[in-house]
Amino acid sequence: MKFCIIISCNPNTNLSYTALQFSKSVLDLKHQISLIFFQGDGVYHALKTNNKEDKNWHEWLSLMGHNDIKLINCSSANIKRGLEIKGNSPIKVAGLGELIIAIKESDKVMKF
Amino acid sequence: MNDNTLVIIKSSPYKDTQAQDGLDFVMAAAAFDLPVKILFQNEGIFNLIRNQDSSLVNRDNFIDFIKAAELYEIDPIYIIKSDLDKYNLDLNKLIIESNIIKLIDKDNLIDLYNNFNHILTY
Repeated sequence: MKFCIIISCNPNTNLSYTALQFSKSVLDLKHQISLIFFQGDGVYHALKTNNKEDKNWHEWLSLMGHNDIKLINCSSANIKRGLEIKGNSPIKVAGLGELIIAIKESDKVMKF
Repeated sequence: MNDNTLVIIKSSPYKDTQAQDGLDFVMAAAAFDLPVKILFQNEGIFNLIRNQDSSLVNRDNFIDFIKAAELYEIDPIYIIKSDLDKYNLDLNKLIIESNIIKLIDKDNLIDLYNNFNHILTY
């Protein structure tokens, strides 16, 4: 089964941790994740890539990298919050169109 | 299943960015031909109140978009009957014409959900 995951919660919430655990489980069960899209306050997850002390987040990020999963921050949410994603970040920036295309190709969409 | 995605707007318009994010999603879905319908539930119904001036807080609102609901093929707009009573509202206080509103009972929500492949809540 192919999943598309939307994360719109702030990274400092239990829901964020649940999203992380959910995506791990999806891969453990040999399902696919087509896209993880950060929307709203979820775009603040990109700031966590700079925090090397956050072990959970780094494990998760490396798991996503090994499975070639696209991680995208919503461009308008970035602009509204004054966030700038650097070129070497695993999280790229794109518009909602990317999300819509991924939803069309997915069997299930989960939003956290 | 007739339609693809149901977007449930549960957040009031100016509390946080959730309702705005939901509106952005619905507009993008309409632009990219993803069949989408909207259910306004609980405080989300306040997004439909007449005479809002969201420019005062530098936000967009649903008003212009909902007026073009038929053009975007997002009609009908779903509203739960008991939510109108809960907030002492009637259809005359809302921005949408009654012909594109579909009032549903809370007890029938599961039937509505069963018509959609994906459900997103904002």
